[in-house]
Parts: sequence; C-alpha cells; structure tokens
Amino acid sequence: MLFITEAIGKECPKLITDHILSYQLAIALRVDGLFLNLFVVAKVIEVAPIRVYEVATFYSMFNRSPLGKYHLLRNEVTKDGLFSVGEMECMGCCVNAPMITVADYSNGSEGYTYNYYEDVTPKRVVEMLRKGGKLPHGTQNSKRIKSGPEGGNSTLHGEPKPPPCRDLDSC
Amino acid sequence: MVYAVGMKIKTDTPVAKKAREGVMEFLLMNHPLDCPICDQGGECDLQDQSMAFGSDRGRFTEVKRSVVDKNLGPLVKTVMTRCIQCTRCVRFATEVAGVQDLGMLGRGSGEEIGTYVEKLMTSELSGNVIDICPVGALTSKPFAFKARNWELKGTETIDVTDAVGSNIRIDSRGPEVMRITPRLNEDINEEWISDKTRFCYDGLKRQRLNDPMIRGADGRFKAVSWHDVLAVVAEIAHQVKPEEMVGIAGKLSDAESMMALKDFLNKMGSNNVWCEGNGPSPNADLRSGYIMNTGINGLENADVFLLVGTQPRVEAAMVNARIRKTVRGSNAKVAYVGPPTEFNYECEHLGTGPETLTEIAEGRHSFCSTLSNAKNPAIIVGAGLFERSDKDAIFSAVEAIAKNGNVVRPDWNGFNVLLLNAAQAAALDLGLVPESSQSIESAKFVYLMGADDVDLEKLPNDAFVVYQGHHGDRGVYRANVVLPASAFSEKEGTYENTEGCTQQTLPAVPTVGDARDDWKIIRALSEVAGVKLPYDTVGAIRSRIKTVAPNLLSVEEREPATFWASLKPDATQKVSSTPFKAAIENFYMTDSITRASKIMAQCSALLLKK
Repeated sequence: MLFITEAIGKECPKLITDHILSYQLAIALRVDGLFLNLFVVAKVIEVAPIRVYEVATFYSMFNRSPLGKYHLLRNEVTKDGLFSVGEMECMGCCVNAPMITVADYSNGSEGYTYNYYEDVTPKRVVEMLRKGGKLPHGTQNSKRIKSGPEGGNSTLHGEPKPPPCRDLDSC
Repeated sequence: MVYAVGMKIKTDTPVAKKAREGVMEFLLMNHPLDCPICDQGGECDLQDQSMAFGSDRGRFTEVKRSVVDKNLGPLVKTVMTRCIQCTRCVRFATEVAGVQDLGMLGRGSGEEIGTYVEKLMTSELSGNVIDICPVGALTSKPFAFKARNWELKGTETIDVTDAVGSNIRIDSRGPEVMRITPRLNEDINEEWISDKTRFCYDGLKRQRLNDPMIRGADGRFKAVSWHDVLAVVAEIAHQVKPEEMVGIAGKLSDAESMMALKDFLNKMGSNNVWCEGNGPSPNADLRSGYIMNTGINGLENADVFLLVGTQPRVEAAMVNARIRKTVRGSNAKVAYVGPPTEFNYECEHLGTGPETLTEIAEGRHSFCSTLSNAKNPAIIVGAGLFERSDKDAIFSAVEAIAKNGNVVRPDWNGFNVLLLNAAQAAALDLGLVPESSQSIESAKFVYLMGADDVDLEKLPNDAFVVYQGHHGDRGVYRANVVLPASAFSEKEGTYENTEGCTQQTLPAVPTVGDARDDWKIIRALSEVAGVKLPYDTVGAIRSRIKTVAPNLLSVEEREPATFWASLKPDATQKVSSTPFKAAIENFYMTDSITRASKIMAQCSALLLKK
C-alpha cells in the first residue's frame, strides 16, 4: 500500500476526472505487480471503492484476480535494441485487424508520427520492415479501400429494408 | 447539439421519425418484453416512448442478454435484465443521496449496474431510485405485484412523519393505501421523499384502533358505543379538580384538533396542555425562536452551517438533502456540535456538548473565524434540545454566537430551529404551553391525543388516562379509555412544517371502523361534558384558529417570523456539561404509524445493523 501511495503521489495530479482515475489505476497496477487490490487502491486515492471497481471492470488490462508467476506480455527488446513489441488494447479499428501502431520518434518530437498499419500478416510485416522508409499507412491489403470490404461492397447496395410493420393505411 | 440562432429544428420529418425508431429499436434490443408482468407497466418511460416513437416490431433475432439481479435491501426490488443503462440511479446515489454505493460495471454488452461486491444500498433516500428508474429495473419491493397504477386513486396530500411536511401523493385502491410517491415542491422536498415517508404506509393497516373501548376491572379492553364512552369520560373529567387535568397532543396532531383540545381543557378550567416534543417549558412567545427562519429553500444561499445538537440526516432527511446540495453546489462548510454521527457530506465535528457552544460564543474557538468570515452563515439548532433542563442557557449561547457571527441581519436570517414532529410548529403557534412543568406528577385526568412518547413514569397510579388516537401504541398501555381517531391519510387537517409553511392533508381513504376525526371527538365530548365548543364544521374551527394564529389559514404559504428579538434577556441558568444526545435513535421508527409498519421494522433490522 505504501508503494502505491508513493508512486501515485509522485506521478499523478489529484483526482479530478475519471480519466485520471484510470491513470492512477495504471500506476497502481504497475507498482502492485499486475494484480489490483481494489479496496486498497480506493483507500489510497480517496475515492469510493465502487468508482475504482467501475474503471477496473471496464478495462480488461486491470486484472482483478491474482495471476501466475510468469504472465507473458511480449515486452521484449530485440538483441540489436531496434525493436520492442508490446500489446495494445482497443485501437478502435477491429474491421481491419490485425494491425500495428508505429509511433515514430526518429524525427524528434516535431516530426513525430503515429500511424496505423492495418491488415498485416507476418509476411507483410517482414516485407514492410525490409522496404523501410515511408510506407503508406492504413490498410496493407491492396484489394481493400480503407475499411470497406475486400473487392467492393457486398451488402447495403440499396436502401436497407425497414422492419416489417403493419401498413396502417391499408387497414 | 446546442441550439443556435437561426437554427431550424425539425421534429416530424421522415428522417427524424426513422432516427427515433432506430434508437427505440436499439433500446429494446436487450430489453425483455415482459411488460405484462412488470410493475412499471403503465407508468414506464420506455413503454411510453416505444408507443409514441417506436416501431411495432424489431429486427433483432439473436438471444437477449440476461443480468443477475442485485440485492439492494428491503425496499428496492431489482430486475436487472430490464435495465437500459441510463445510469440515473448511479447519479442519484452519488449526487443526491451522497452514498457511493451504485456504479456501472463492465463494458459493452456485459455492462451492468451493480454495487461493490454485494453491498446493500444504505441511504435514507434509497426509495427515490424507484421513481427515477425509467424502466422496471428498480421497483418498489413492498408494492411488488400489489396493484396496477391505473387502478389507483391519487390524493395530493402531505407527509407527517417528520417536521418537513414533504409533499406526497397517496395512491389508494378502495379503502387501502397502496403506496406513497413524492410530489414536486421546490421549496420543501424538491422531487424526493425519505424512505420513511414512502414506505411507512403499511403501518396504516396494522394495530389500528377501530372501536371506542373502556378498560374493565380485569384489565382488558371492552368495546362500547361512542355514546357510553363519552359519558364516562365526561363524568370523570368533572370529578377531578381543573388543575389536575392535563392534555397532551401527539406528534401527528393537526392544528384543528390541537385547537379543540386546548379550547376544551380551557373551558374545563385547566391550561395544562402541550404538544409532545416541545419540552416542559417551550418558548412560544416569538415565532422566530422555533421555526426555520432561513427556510428550507433558503439554506441553499448559506455558505457556513453550524449544526447544534441536530442530526439532520435522521431528523429531517429532506433538510439534510438540501444541506448536501448546498455543500456540493457551493462548497459550503458544515460544522457540527453533538454526539458522533454519520454525515453524507464533509462536516467538521467541533464537540459533543454545550461547553463547545460556550467556547464559540465567547470567541475562544477556532470556528469563530470561519463563522465571522462567512457571508451567509446559518445556525441550525435541533429541537431535541427542547427537552433539556439547560435549554434556555443553550439558546442564549446560540444567540450570542448568532450575534457575534452577524447571523441575523435585515437581509438574511440564519437562525434556525429544526423541529422533529409535524405537530410542533402549529402547537407553538396555537400556544399549547403548559402552565406548570410538573403537571404530570399531580395529574388525575390525562387526555393523550395521540401522544405516545410522553414519559408517564411519574403519573400517579390512580390517574385516569384517555387515549385518543389511531394506533394501539405505547399510549394505550396506560390508557383507561380508548377513543379511535383517524390517521393523517383519512382526514383533512392543517399542519405547519419546520420552516413555517402551512399545508393541509386531504382524506385519501375512509377511516377504519368507528373512528372519527380528532377534533370532532373533542367537540362531541365537550357537549357531553356540558362545555360545548362553538364550532361544528372544519370551516368554523378554522375561523377560531384565525383568531389565534392567522398564519395557519394561509395554506401552502410560508409565513416568515415578522419580528426578531433576543429570546431571553439574560440566562440565569448555567449550561450543564452533559453532552448532547441523539434526538432520534431509529430513523425508521419515530411515531405510532412507523412503529406499526412491518417494512420499517425490516429496515431497522437490516439497515441499522452495524
């Protein structure tokens, strides 16, 4: 509990919005080793337990039950120190999954880019990395336009059918 | 979208209609179609909107989700599958009731309303979630499957279980009160009522007195006719000396019956008449000394509160909700002197007894600076202090605080007394003040008009006790004669609430058995006793009231005290060191109606358990 108090006190402003609450929970999660004791966290950040419970049940990365000793997240760095890969939750783009987010700091914070590369496959990722340089972001599937279906629209060709209702005029 | 100048809003185009139908289809996607077995049926917002804006069928063919019901206690029944996740109940619990018990758990289709790991909702306002729930997810547990709302007759009346006088609607079917719901009154209860107000109604059906009764030599009551019982009471009333007669009005008495009681005793030559809860020597001279001068609505303008010996959360839940609203809205500070208690807002506990008051009055307390820096300070004194022997000294200390803190000014009167019972204010207005504070000890004839909480320990054993009331409660144990009267739901009566607002009850259901209105019984008794009271109708008794307290005739108007002066010249008594006591031990059971209620008994057992 002491660790959480310190960590939150150091890194976080006082609770004003729910947004900060989830940030505080993220810190608590990091410090407390993957498993949140909600009641303790609620006490530390001085909110009602139910408020913590709401946020903790909303985001699936907050584990509410103890995990095994080795919980594998692919937060590994390659030997040459070039790449590290982590998981990301809800990129809001599941129609084009699987996908990769690239946060590019190579041009400093001025030229910082943050792009989605969608419809990736292991083969396509390797191709992308081989090509290097600037790649068109968005879908990597050439048969698809943005998030539309492969090969053009397959449905919704006309006005959608309304629910089958009684025709009151003919009654 | 915010309305802007020049914007045209179309509400009846095919696009608008289609959009509404779409929204309704989404809302009903996971909503069960169980209206025929749902208690909300007939008064359901979703049902109404579906009728007005929805389509008559949906395209959803998948399986509807189902949600496990939650246990929110003895008052609120939950059918969580019906919930449409509007989160009104979460907002109400967090913002108005001030108990952070409810929350929205999970996400997506697994989203549901819940409490933190199986916890009951512990609030004195929890019943209001039934009203604000737009669907049948939260409904009244005691009312479950009892009636349909279109069978009920609504009577707009007021509540008498505390001194707030919350505006309510009694829904009845035939001779039975089926439920009680709040009415909007922004000045008093806004749109909420307390759980006691809402659920006490089953007490109106239990333990009722329905026949005049006389206790025989064997100690058992025997039912007799009105004619005989009045003759017996009148005969005994004439056998005792006038100064040995005592009349005590109960907590739930209306102004008309208190006027009749006082007139009757005065005609018999006695003036030992008072209302329970007002103490042995009430100060009825100045109205500003016993009402809430700021007004319940006016409390919203205060920025510092000093609560003296009062626990508004149990004494007047609606006043407490108003203080909480002020604390939330304008960050008002609250300080409290009294026994340790729970508040649902931030509150500084200054001390437990009168010596803290003396410290503040003499300027030795750290709270003095807060008080003197306040723009609109409000002091609320609990009526529980009326019973204390050092009452005058406490009130003069409070007055000194008021003077130092500039609490009473031409533009702001922050001196308030929070009364406990519905009858208190009107009783003091009508001058129900006993001649002697020791009258009980020498009494030979005691007329209890619904008074159940009077201490009759010191009453001589040979005293003759008449109990007139609607419930077989504490007063009946000692009574020699029982006269059945009507309850607040069955009569037309005038009540004045703690802020001095006069309101009237209206009869919602017929009286039980042979019971009669309180004032009519006393009027009939006066005639049998040969001291006929000069009124035969409610109108006539109200003209009599007009000569004593004209404010009791201006119904639904708050009559502020016109004159403010120091109540006591200089207190000769000293404050005692006895700490303040809680005026109400059990929020759910304070009078004969709530003590007879099964629901209130369940609440006391479950919710007050520590």
